[in-house]
Amino acid sequence: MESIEDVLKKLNNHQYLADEKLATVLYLAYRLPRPLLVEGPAGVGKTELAKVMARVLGAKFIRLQCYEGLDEAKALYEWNYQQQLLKIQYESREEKSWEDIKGDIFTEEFLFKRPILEALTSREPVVLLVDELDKSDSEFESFLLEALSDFQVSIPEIGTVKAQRIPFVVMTSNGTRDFEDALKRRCLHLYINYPDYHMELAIIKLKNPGLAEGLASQLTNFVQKVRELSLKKPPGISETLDWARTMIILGADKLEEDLVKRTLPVLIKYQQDMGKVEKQVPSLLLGS
Amino acid sequence: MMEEKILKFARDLRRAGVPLALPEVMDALRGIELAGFYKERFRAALKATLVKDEMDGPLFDKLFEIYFQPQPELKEEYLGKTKDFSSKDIPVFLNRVLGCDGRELASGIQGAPRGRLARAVYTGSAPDMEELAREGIEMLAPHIEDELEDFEGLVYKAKAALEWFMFTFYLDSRREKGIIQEEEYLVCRENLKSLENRLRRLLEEEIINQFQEKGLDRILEYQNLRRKDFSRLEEREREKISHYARKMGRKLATREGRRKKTGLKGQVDLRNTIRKSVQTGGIPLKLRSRGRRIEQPDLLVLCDVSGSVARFSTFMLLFIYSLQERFRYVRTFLFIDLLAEVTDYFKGRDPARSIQEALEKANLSDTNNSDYGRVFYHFASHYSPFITSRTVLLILGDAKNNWRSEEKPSFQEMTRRARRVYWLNPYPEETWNTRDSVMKIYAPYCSRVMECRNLEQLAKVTEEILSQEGVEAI
Repeated sequence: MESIEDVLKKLNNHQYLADEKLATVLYLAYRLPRPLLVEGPAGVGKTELAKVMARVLGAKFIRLQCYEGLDEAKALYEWNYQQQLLKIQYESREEKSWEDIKGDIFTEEFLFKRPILEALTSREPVVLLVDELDKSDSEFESFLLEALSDFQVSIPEIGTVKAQRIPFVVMTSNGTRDFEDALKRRCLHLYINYPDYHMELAIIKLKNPGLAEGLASQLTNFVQKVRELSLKKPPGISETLDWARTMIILGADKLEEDLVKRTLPVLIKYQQDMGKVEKQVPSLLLGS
Repeated sequence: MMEEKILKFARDLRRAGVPLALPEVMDALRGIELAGFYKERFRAALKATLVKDEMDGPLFDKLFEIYFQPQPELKEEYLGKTKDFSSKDIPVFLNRVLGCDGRELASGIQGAPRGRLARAVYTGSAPDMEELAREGIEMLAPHIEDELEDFEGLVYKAKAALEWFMFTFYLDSRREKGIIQEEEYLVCRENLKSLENRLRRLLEEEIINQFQEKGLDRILEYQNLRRKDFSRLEEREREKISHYARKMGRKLATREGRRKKTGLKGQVDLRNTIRKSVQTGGIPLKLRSRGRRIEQPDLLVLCDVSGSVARFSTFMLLFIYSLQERFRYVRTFLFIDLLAEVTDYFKGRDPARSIQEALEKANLSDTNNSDYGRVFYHFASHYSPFITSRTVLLILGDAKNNWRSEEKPSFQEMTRRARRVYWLNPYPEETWNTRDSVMKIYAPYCSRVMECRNLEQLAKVTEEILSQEGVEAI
């Protein structure tokens, strides 16, 4: 990635529509280099962004999905105890000294590399996605901070492992929890919101070339209006795309009240939201 | 030169409350080197490196506008929408909106602010709107100092000077009656919006001109949601703040870390397990567990909802209900000069609606003025038995007693029985013991009295309360 224009062009080539702002931030994250913390509502393409960056950079894509209780053993490394045990039993026949055995069993051969270690030790370029960081707990956050600020980790039995090449790190969050200042300080921050009408229309058309022109704008219009209702979970781009695909499968060429009501579950994921939207379908369809 | 400006920019941002340190500023400088000064890129580079929380977005945007987007005259962004019309449409429109029964408008009205306002927003003429906006600010300028605290109030006054509300009243009612066309109405509304934007921008400029650095601080303060008074939040902001308040609660709730998730039966009790294993010859056949000791406190909330604190109280109630799973149960009392328990309104329903309903139905006042003494007396005599060593008493109110009598013994009785008593007062601490405030009389009996009127303070308060109460320890 040589320039911001270059980023824009490459993202476009890989079917990811980006604006100047997004391209600038990606370029900076790549060049500075800094981990990129991406926040925004669910379904606006945060995870997708990391994937497309892997393709743009021709890098290996490594994903670490966060959840409550995630710890170093699942994120960094773990010793392969069973195999170590076998090795000990095997070597004990040869009357080796403990020092020798110890030297044999604590080697990379017996190491399960978890995503972060894998990203650091990889010889090819890597895009590391730490997905939904807000779901992990704060101990993990501190650990991650340590690993990502120097791009090195220490394994007591082996020593410090330094990154072969600095990976491009993307962390995503749906904003259910706040992060420590120290972590935020080391990241670049990007907030992705729902796209506006033109952007969303362009995305739909790009991803569904088969969709009738009129239908695409009708869909977009409808979804944009649905987002203005105060819903528990407003539809994201991924839902819009699913909906568009549904229309193609059904062979529809324009939105009608009945069709909308039947396919609404693709777009709306909560019963209480469903009630709200259903009532307003006719008025939401107006002017589209 | 530019570097210096960016350093100044970062300094102002920090002074306004955005957490910023040297590494971020270094990142910003390097970022700009890489991204260049081209409009959107320059801005994106600054924002990504300096602002790490969407909450600070508005603050950044405002300061960026002031620093890097000077707008001496009405420009595109503020430029109104122009309607296709022939010149004879204008008097017809003016007559329809401002006149009565189709009679010709007196030239006096046409020349009055509302007449010129109507003409400007109907035609969407940029120079006319610019002139009106400047006029509004000019009329306001000498009075700004007195009300520097209240930006919205100033905007309101500038609008009033232009007879804005009179015009919009006419506009709405003529539309309802079908006297003006929908399309005309929409154009007017849109132009009113651009005019308002312009008005706000000019007002900011005026404030900065008049008060320099202090003025800039004030303007940034208006944008700072963390420090914005709960009672001054607009609907849209309230939603955002509630979201952040919930997020904050979540952060507190998860802070202990949950690696060792306790099972339903609690943690393994090694000592007990070994002791029992003696019976089976030292082989621990059965795992003993410690059992789950629930240490959730009960929360009793007493909430002043008189006019002076109503908005603060309702916001706080919403927040408390978003945290309610952290307590064994929550009982809510509202009062003005009468006390009423409203806990039942909150059972499993949307808290916002519940509060509304409780406020409408409960009998809370004779006089509409708070009377803390009477309320404490009532509470102590009726509800004291319910206050136990696991009760946390939370009082929300400004302690303005309207010069009525105090009731120390009752309050003492209530607080003596409770595990802890917190009083949250939305007013600044300096004002607590002035005029009719009775804060100093009751404060000695509280575990803590804290100022709480914006998100920043709420964060502090919640952290302190929840850490004290060590909820659900095993």
